[in-house]
Amino acid sequence: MNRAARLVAAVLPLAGVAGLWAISDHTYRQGTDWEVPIMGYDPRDLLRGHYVEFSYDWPGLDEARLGQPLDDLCLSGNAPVITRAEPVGDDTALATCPHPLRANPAAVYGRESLRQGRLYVGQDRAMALQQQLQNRDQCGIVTIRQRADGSFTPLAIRFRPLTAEEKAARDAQSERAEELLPPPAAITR
Amino acid sequence: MGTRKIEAWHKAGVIDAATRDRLIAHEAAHARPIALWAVFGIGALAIGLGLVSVVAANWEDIPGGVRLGVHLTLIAAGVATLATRPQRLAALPPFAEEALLFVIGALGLTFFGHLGQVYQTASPLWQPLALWLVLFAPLLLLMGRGLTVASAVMGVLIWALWDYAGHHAAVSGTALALWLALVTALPVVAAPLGGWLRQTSARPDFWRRVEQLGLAYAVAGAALASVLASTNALDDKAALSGFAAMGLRAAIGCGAGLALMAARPGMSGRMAGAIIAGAGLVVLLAVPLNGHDFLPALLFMALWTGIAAAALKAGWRGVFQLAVGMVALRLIIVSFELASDLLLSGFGLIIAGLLILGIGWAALKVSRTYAPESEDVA
Repeated sequence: MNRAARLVAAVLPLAGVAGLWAISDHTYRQGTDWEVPIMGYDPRDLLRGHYVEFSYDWPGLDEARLGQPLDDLCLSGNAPVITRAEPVGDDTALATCPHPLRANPAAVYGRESLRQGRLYVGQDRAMALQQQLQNRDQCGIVTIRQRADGSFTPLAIRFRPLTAEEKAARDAQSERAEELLPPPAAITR
Repeated sequence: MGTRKIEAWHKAGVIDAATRDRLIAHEAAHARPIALWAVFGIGALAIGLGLVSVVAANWEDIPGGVRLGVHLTLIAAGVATLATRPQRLAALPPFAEEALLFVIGALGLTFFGHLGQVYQTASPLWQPLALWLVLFAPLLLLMGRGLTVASAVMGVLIWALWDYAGHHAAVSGTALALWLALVTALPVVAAPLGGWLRQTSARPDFWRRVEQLGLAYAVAGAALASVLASTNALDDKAALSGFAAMGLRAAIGCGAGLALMAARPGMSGRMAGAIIAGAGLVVLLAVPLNGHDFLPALLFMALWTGIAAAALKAGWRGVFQLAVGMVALRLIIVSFELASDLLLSGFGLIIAGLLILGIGWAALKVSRTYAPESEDVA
């Protein structure tokens, strides 16, 4: 009995860890790859390793919805190009969507996991990415692998230069932001 | 120690030739070439650090599959050594097996993080910790021999449960509050379990450590509850559910204490059980005293006075001295809390200083005079 118990206890961790590896590997290989533009991100160095943190800038998603919870999205387009990402809001409607994405409440970002994501990279890569971030004339793009059950995994990050129109739009936006600032307070005696 | 001194003593006529030879022989037999060991140690450390930095510098260039494969192979090698070479391990110093078990556990825990890094998966920390407990705790509990492995298992258990509770803290509701109270009180059950198994198992020392860690968890929880009560930090937003949750924690504490008393009928077991049951009562009493000026401090001191009394009865010297120290510390803090305006004047500062010296002296006196003579194993 004691021998058998010891044998089971010795085999259990090995089998469990190996099985977990197999499952992770299998899940990782499933799905369709999409490219999502990202906004400001942040290289981190925590105990869990080096990763970059970013917010998704889903094409076609209304900025007015920014404050509302984002529980799911239905992607349309020809992989890897997303033409539109639309919130659905209920499970039965999401079931008819060909490329669903679902926020995982158990993940690190919880219900925010469709707004923010993280990608683990090496130490040197994190430094290089940080320098690329300084350059405002390019746009970050994260490749995600989306699966039929709505789960997804960020795979890679790259940068592309902004087009002339995008630069013009960005400059117009920052000018507008400056206009919205209150005028400097006048100093009176 | 060199032999030159011994020769000198012999020449001075302090020791005779026979004693000199015996001393020299003794020194030779018990020589510990520490300098040589240090050189070897530094060499090994340099090689190890070099290996680590080479691997770290090329981390990204090593394919994930290879990295995970090496990691898994290391775990497998450790487990295989444990399972197939029990005689070889028994011939080594007793801490070798314990250290190997600990390394296997640590490698297992880091494997989950490594998987997440390679496959870009992220989950709340309690999930890999819980999975680790399912997969690795049986091995560690079956083969652990001492404090290292016992703390590893108990530490991961407590970490996982509190991380789980933290992830659900934002949600309210009496049922959830009760569930979280049950979950966070669970490590106390280790005390009666360890107390019961240490009498039947072939590894009594390991289960004694598990029992002690369960007891320490109960005492730490009760102390924390009374400290929180004195800062008005106990959950009184939902008074009823908070009270019910603390009540459940208290009931589990009292139950575990009584179970330990039943499991280990000797004086030491009865006293350990009494401490745990008392800690349960303190947790319950902390709720109505929440935010009160002085009563939570009294509760804290009552807890440690009770522990001191139990230690006196059971003959635990270290525990008694710790308890006296805690009471003295709380007394000093109380004097500051009650008379904070006293500290604003020079005269008040002198009085406060004298008070601290007095309390310290009294505590030292008490713990020297009344502490049980020998350290009886708890």
